[in-house]
Amino acid sequence: MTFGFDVVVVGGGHAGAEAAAAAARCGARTLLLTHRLDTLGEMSCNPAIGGVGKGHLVREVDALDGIMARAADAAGIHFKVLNRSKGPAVRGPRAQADRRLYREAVRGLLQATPHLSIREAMVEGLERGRDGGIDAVLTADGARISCGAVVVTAGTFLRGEIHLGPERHPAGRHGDPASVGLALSLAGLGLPVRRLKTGTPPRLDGRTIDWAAVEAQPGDDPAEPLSWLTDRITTPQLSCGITATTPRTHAIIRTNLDRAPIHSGQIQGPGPRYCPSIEDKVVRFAERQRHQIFLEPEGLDDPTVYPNGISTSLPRDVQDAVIASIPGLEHARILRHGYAIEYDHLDPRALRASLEVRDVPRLFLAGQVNGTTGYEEAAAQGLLAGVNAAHRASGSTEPRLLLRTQAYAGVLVDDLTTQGVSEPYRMLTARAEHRLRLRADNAHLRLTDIGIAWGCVGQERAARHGAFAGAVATALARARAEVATPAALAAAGLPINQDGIPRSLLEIIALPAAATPALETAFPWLRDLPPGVRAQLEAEALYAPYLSRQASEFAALEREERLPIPDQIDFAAIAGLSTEMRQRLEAARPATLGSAGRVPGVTPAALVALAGHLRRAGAPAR
Amino acid sequence: MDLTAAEGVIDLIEAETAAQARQALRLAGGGLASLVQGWAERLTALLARQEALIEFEDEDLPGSLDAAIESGVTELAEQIAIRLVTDNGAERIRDGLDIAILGAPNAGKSSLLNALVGREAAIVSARAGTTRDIVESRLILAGLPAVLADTAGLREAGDEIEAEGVRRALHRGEAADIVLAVLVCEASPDPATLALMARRPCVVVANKADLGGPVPDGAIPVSAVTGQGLDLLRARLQAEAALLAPSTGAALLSRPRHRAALRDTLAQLGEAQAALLPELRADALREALRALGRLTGRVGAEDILDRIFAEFCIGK
Repeated sequence: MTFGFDVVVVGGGHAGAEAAAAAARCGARTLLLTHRLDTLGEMSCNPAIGGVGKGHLVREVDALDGIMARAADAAGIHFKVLNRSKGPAVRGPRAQADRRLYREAVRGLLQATPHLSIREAMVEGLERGRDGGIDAVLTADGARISCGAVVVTAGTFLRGEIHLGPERHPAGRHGDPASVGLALSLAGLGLPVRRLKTGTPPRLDGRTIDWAAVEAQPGDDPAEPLSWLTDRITTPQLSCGITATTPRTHAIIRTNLDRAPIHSGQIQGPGPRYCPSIEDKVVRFAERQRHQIFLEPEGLDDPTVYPNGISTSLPRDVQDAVIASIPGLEHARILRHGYAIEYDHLDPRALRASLEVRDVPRLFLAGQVNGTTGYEEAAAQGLLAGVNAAHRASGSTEPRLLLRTQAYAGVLVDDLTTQGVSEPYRMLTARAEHRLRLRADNAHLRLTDIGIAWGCVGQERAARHGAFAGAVATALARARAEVATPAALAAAGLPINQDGIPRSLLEIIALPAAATPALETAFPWLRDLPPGVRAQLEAEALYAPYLSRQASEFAALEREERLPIPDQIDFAAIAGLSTEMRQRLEAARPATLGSAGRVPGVTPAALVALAGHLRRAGAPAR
Repeated sequence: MDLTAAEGVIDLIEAETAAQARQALRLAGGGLASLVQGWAERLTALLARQEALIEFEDEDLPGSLDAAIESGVTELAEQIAIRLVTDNGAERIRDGLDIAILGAPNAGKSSLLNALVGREAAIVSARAGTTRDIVESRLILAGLPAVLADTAGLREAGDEIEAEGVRRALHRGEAADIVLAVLVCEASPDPATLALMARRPCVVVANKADLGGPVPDGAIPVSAVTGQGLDLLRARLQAEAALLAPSTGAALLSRPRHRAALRDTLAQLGEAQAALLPELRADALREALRALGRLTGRVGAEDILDRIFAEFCIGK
């Protein structure tokens, strides 16, 4: 059986779903292959989307018309904006979702996407053409699907192995088989493979939790949606609970450490530092008397509760004892024990910034298979890979890229492809040099126009975006142009320094003393601004002095980011590069001068030599 | 080897005096590098705490963190400020002292220069206004290299060229580390030189002591012709030099860029103290770290994350 598509996406998790939807939005005839239709959009770990850094990524995916934010809005049962007391640049919107509703929403959005077909099949191999690139995907049921490009989003399924105390068995995720055939096929391509691990906590039966004994944490009211297209949240909302481990918990864990796979040497791969197992926490922070646990309901009509904070691979009997030692959970029943999973990922330094494998044309990789963790990191990569695969399949060789100066998604891909990973990579705002610019609240203003140019933004969003962006631009121009003297402001009730210097409205808004009623007395038109536009005005005003101070540096950086390093560059031929520098650059093969500067250990002197070479070679500095 | 140590090696090769060599060795041995490294580590720790507060609001972080960052920033700023104020001899040791000889025409400034350096460096004649441009000569004072500059005599100039010479002489006098004001025993002090002495602390000599005449108050009687008083003058100049470049052995900031980088760091720490929002404080601390990094090498995002995960129990 042989048939053909422009783009084939392997995997139906968060990377696969976005990749398939994005490729199809770009007009590519797209096929999504998943080993199980009913796990499309499955949340394998905690049922939350967003947060600080991650929420920024979700908004960026949404700005490019991706599906994650809309699905989370449909399925969200607890919304909270983190860092609300801090400035808008570091506020992170987050939603906890009903697991089943989320799967249904993802599936519904995919099924409603034109040009997209979905098929249940296990992928067994990839067929290479004469140029070494991928021409077709082979499935376990004997089909050969020819394609113009393929996006592999294998998650933790590559030679996945679950550890639960002394028990160990191959699996992609609880209840799902590992993808051995695909792993062998990727290994056959000569791609560099590394091993990582991650873990998950036991799941509890919420009906057996003593909710009165734990602190309740309600969500925000009103809930702030994740998608810019969602006007308001209509799904019923639930509270979470907060409890904590006790000294007794820690004693139980210490007594049984030798039975923990991560301490007995049974697991070798490094795990994420920001997501340590409870046994890790107890060992590394021995002085702590308690570790906080969030009790997160997994659904409206699902009693399962996710105890966030106690990921573990201790044996079942120890997990039982640990849970019973926690206030409120004394009689809680474990529905499924926690476990650790080891899996293969591919060294992302083998990828171009378009997420295409450098040495295997038309093969794109996205998501956890690239060494990241988290649904949001996966979704952002999936979307970029999907867009690039669609354009690649249509014969275009020009990559569609986001720069570090433009988006967290750009930071993500640049970090992955130039630095590689030493632990599962998670997005943090501290990774973005331009944090004050790359806000969750302005993701659409930064990216939707780019998405429209790429062809991945639908008409509804494009129309709404155009109107909104125009209103923001008008309001900003007006706020820069209109000035008031300190005397006039004092008359309006704004107590500011009477230095006689007229200030623009944008400057006035940024003053700590600028209270709303007085501002509106002095500038009545502010009252008529839609809240979204007003929020943009305030955020821009707040950061304007800092952004303008960094403007020249920013421009220089953008130039570096755009100075491309040709694919066929021979680092050995560059005068003035030491052997060590040559090796470091060879390993990362950075795509631009900017990313070369971030390759670990590359010295300023080496960069100067490289820049000189590029200019002499006449690389166009766009 | 970091950049400052490499600078030390270059300085060592170029050292002319023992004090220069000792200082170059301190730098080459990583004296400045380890000082800056220590500050960079503390700053990295402060930034890591600030970032932890931003990234992990819902984790159980210690409540005292914010105050700890604030006092840490203040302490670090104080130490850098103290270093900037007290460590001020190294540039002079490396670059040498600038001594300007000023005085009325025909006071014998050029003769004095020649006598001090022991050779005929400047043209000497009985005619007033012989020296029009600046004549420089090198000597070593208290282990410090010094440049002795002979200048045009201060008077209402006769022509345009001489006027320019006088302008340059005064300019040199303003910028010099030490001004050597030359009076003449037999003559009453000239107004231009007196005005200069009022503006700047000077070493004052009364030249032509061999010809006799009263010695103005506080002036050292010397004779460029007979060599009378020259030893006393040399001792005085050495004492002045020693005051300007204290030989405590602790001075490290030997180049203007060292000082500039620390001043930038300090300015950013000031921004951090004034910042009203955590992300702005983090931004300023990051800039401060970058300024410090210009001295020795940069600190990447990964170093900051390493600190966060080492210090706090983060993660669910």
